[in-house]
Amino acid sequence: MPDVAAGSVDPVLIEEFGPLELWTATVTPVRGARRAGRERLGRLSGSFRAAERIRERGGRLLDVAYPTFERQTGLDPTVPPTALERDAREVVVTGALMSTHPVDDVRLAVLAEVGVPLTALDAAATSGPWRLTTTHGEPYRDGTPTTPGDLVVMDAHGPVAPVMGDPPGRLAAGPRSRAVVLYAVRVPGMASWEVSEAVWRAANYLAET
Amino acid sequence: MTSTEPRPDLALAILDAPETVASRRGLRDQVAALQERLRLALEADWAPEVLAAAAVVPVAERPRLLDLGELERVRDDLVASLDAVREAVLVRRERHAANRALLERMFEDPDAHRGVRLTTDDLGLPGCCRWQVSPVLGVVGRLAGWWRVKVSSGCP
Repeated sequence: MPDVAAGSVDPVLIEEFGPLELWTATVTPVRGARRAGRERLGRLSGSFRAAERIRERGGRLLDVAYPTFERQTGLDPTVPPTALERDAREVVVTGALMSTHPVDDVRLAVLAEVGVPLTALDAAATSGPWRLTTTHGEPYRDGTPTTPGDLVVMDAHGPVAPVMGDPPGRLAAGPRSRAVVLYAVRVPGMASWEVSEAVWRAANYLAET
Repeated sequence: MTSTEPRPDLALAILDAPETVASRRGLRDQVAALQERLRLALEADWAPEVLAAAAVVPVAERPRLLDLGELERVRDDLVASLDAVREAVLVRRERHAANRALLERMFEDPDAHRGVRLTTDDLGLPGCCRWQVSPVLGVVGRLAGWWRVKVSSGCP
């Protein structure tokens, strides 16, 4: 059974924002995860009331605490920062949560079920421990630049993903990733257990335990 | 080290002055409160055009630790967003009221409103009902000037 571990958070960020946490899990997706993901999304499509959720949450699928945090960090929450959520809003039009590949299926299922945004990194491209911090302008592993003060998740070697949004393409987990690092950030307004539970649930979906 | 000297371990020297930490947290609280008011406004009058009115030019391309000036801009943008959303809601309600009045006139005098069509969306109502002024008996009614409001029962 995959373990969920707490990453460290720069004390300066806690002083600025209050309770921030980083929860991670490293998992190897099993062969049956693709079929299980499709079935899970199929079941969810029948019960998930996307239009109501989007209306209640000011145009978003995730918990209202996250758009507030996005606003506080300079983003415009009317535009979801991840492709997964932007595509998921199409559920209102298509009427179904579309299956893509096991990792994104799990992220979408958890987003729909508990409203927590998960990020998935290719475990071959990153190694822990992971921490939540600001950059001093150092680029991501694939050369994507950052500016000083960017809020990022960093591994032992440098930044791997922004705190909200998609990681650079070469670091993101995809259909061919053999092992995946899942993480979610607890922001003020979210309960700690809800976020760690979301990571645990996603890890167990992928590991089929 | 005095309280105003920058700490070398911080990413942004501008954020270091201790007296501004409280100011930034205060501004973040204001932003959170305004964001909640915006969410409630969007929930009460949900429509794509209202959501579009809430959009702003983001202060940053990627999430970052904002300084005092940037947080003030975020707050001011949010206030402007709230105003824009309220304005969009007013415009929408006025349009709905005008369409309801038009529907009444369509029923009172179908002949004067030939071919006019309204939907529940035009009236700000849930569902997918349609009202259309159409001729009775097709071509016969068109030639004879017999018009009526036909109500479709909704989605297939």
